[in-house]
Amino acid sequence: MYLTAQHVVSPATQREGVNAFLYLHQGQEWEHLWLPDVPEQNPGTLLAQSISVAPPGNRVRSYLDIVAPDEVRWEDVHVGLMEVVGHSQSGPLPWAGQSRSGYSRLGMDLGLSSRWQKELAVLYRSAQALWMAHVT
Amino acid sequence: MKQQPLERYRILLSQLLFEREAAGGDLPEEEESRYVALLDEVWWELSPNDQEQLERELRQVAVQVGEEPALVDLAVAEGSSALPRRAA
Repeated sequence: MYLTAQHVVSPATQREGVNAFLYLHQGQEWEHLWLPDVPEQNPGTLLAQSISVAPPGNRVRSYLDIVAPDEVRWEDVHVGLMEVVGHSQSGPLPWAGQSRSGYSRLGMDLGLSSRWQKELAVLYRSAQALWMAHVT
Repeated sequence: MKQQPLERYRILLSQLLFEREAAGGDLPEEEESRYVALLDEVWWELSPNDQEQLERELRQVAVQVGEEPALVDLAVAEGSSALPRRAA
């Protein structure tokens, strides 16, 4: 599973919002996936999306990527994300890392970084809502 | 794998700050107290060097940004394997 939420801003209207996308890797063996490649090269098949500001062409201000087995429990996603954030936060963004539940990555622009916990919470809630609506 | 106290403290603190934001700014007092007690417990497991390191980190106003996203979003059709963003 590749679940991503991205905070975008329209260059035309300056409207901002969070769009989320849920991909599954049905038919692919989890053990054979190279997790850091998933967000860039092997997202899987798009199952559902939640659109707040219609693409394309919006600038991405921040993103949260979650890679985990299709059948993962949300509690494990949460714990894994906290592990990666806790481990990474003494270094500069973007933060990325593997945990017991998979792989997570968080990036954001300078303007959002001073309130990164809030931004992470916004992205997380959007990703979680999409996952809850289509997987559970 | 057992986490070292320094890493455990960072994860707990991230979780507390994140949970506060996810709850809209405040956690119920009981939940807040639970985190504080856990943080306190781990704090006293830290070496003096680790405590100094954490104090330095906590004094930082914001996290550093090594690389800002230089990305634009893309429209993706359900059932496709296209990515939702690309390099700007």
